Amino acid sequence: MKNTIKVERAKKDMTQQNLADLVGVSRQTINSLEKGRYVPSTILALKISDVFETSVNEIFTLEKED
Amino acid sequence: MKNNNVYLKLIPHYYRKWIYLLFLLPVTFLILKETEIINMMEHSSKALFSVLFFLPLMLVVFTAEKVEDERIEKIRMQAFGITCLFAFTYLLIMKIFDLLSTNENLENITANELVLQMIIFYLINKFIMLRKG
Repeated sequence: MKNTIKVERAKKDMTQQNLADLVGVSRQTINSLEKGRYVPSTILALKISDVFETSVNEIFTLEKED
Repeated sequence: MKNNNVYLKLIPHYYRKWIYLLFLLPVTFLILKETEIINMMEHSSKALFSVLFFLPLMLVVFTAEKVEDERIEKIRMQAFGITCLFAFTYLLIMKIFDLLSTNENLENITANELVLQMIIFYLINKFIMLRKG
């Protein structure tokens, strides 16, 4: 699964730490998400989409192998 | 939405520095034993040292990280799983080695040694997984 967290974060001029604080996870978790090493739970995905004021589908998209 | 995932109840991160201080207990005990301030039977002193050493190690294993989130929980569970697999494999290899060996002086691994190896394996494993992300 790929995501556009880094792009959305740049649009909002937000650091990884800012986003981490807003969704209640560690900065390392946001870093892992951006690099595609960690797939978030539904709750975390919804929290992230809430911060960026978009739908989950716009941030997280499935790839062929998923 | 209510998060109904069942997580381990952990010791708050705040207590970690106090737990690290507990590591001074086995060190102090060793110093006191070497300087012969404490005079104990070999067997009793080994048992007491094990208790003093295991206690802070076990507490470290069950202490929460600074920011406890779902990724860390997943890593913790993975590390526990891999550690169990390591222990089973280790015991199996030791048993096979024991069966094949003709050396009668070969000592069986004690529960203490196995638990200590499991804790160290778990901590290294978790550390590597956290670094790798």
